[in-house]
Amino acid sequence: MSRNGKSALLISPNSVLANALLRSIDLLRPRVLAARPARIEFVVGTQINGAPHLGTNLVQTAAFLLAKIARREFSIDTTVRFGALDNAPHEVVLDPETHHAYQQTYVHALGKDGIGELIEGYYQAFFDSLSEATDTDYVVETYTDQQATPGFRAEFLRTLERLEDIRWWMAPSHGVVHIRIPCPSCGWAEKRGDRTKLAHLDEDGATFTAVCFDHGPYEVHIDPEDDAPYLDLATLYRNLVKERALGRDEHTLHVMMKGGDWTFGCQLVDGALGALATPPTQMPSRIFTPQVLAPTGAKLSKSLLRERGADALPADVEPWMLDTTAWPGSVDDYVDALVWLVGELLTDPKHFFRSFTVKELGRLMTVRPAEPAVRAHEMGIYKRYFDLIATGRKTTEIRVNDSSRRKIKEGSLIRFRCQGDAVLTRVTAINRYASFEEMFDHQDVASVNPLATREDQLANIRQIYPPEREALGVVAIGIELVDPPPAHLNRPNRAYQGDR
Amino acid sequence: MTSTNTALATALEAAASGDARRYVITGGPSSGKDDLIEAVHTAGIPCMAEEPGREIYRKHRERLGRHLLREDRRDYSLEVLSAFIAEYTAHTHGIRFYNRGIPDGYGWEGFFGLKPTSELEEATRAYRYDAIFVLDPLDTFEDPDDIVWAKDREIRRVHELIVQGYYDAGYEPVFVQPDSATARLDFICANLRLPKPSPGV
Repeated sequence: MSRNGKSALLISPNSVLANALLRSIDLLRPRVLAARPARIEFVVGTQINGAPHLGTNLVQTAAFLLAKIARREFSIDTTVRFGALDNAPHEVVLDPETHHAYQQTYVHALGKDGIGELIEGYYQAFFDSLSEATDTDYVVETYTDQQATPGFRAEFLRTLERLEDIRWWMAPSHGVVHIRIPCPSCGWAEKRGDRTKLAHLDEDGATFTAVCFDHGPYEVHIDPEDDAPYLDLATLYRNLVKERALGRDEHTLHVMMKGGDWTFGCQLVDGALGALATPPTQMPSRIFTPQVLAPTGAKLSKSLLRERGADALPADVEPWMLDTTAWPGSVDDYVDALVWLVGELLTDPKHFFRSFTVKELGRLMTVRPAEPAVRAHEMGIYKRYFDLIATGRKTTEIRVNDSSRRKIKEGSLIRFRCQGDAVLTRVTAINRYASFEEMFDHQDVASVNPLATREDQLANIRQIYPPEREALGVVAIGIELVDPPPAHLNRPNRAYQGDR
Repeated sequence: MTSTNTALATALEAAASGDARRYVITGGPSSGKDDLIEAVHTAGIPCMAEEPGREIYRKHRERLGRHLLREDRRDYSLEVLSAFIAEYTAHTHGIRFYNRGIPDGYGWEGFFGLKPTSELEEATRAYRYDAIFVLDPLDTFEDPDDIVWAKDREIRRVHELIVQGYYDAGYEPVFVQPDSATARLDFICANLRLPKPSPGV
């Protein structure tokens, strides 16, 4: 049996981390309380070198769902940033002279338009659907855009000043840090940077020398003021620079969403961050999501498919798990299934901070509700207001106009939730105002709450929303019940019970 | 260059008037050879600068106007072999490190599906080195994303063919595991009973 007395869908042994948490989202609470950020951004990076597999989509879904939960839990606006790693190798060739490997990135091979098409093909519909399902905005940033920013470049140059301190963290087996600076003439770069050398470093930037297999020796200069030449950093180094740069943002807390297999690599990044004397307040906030495992316990990987062919796949691995575009249904259907699945994992930290075999995930997916989910914006609400809505007596809901409300339109559905109950409503009108005062000047006070005066309502609502939240603006949402009120709720309003 | 390490400098000087001692440093691509050769130079140990094949390759490429193909390899290999022999014979006394050695030719010929030339076989018999150090690769040649490129497999093959070439030539190479160039040079010197070049050791 689970905590709420229902039959348990999942059984997970307790773990050290789960023992410290009642809710998965609490992992962020210390940082949120210490930093009081104006915004939380969940950052999820993905190689765009092929159709995503289940593990990839699981991390992304967790980012959107946690953004939704964090917004409600901390009353802070949240978004998702999708980092499309367009520097993944598209092709590798050997230098006919030395046999060193050279690689061309996706962006160098396909161009920005080609990258745009890849993102659109593999992720756009998926993210749009996730965004709608979780009321969470997202932005897409390619690695190419990121490496061109002054912040990223300046941070990279700072690491070069301390290269001696970080190199063993970045390459513990030999201390040789690979930096790829593609040839300005053709865009090919030494895959392992064997002959790419830092020739000079001063306050104006860094000069590197390298050798192109086609154009011979070349020299490039990295300067924070200039978005060229291209700077292609290997995985751990890229994460070090990215996390250092994002850590400097005082207003936004960036939460790195990573698959569970990243935990070990992040130990090295943390070592390097320490070697760079990164202040505690700027250390990255990370959430590691459940790993999807093959029956052997190895990470589910497309190499299973690539190296042995589809026929050799274990029986537990369904085709869509390795190539999610093969899902037998619509994108919305897939997203709803994933949102349901990740939602179940998030019900208890014991379920979220662990790994799952494909067989177990397959079992979970088969027991998901057969009824298709009705997509609706979701809002938690105090019991006294929930009852008024459920009985049809409250027909205007008031919220601050944060990013999740901006998508609500006339005709949208809103599901209000309270203590395990839910009521589905349809939006009849949307009006936006600068303040609660202005809102009450225009709205029928009784439609907001038939049991309280304007003054009482203003006092109540300002207890919920502090001035900085009211400063986002106010939205008055006209609502009507989609279904008739349930009989047990169709009774006079009960006393305020003080929780949501 | 003179060694900055007094003990090493003394050992090198003592060996300078004795018989020639020739030590090969070799390995496949991405084995850290260039960095190690640089460390050898920095330590003041006599060493071949750039492997001769590179300059000869550039010359042939310029002449052909393109990269070399399999059918161009024979002329190129013979010229490289001549350069290695010249390097070998020019050294008559003391210690000297070599950036690849004559038997490397077996590996490269094998990689291109060519049989070793009689000139290579003859040179291998005539010009013997005193020790061979093979640098293990610094990379697994796998992508973090689990992609394994066919080309990366070729790198591994080049390395293995080079190693096999030395065994076929009757050598027993010493393998140098991945580490910093300084630590690897210390390991090599320790094997040769030379003082370690790194300071304080």
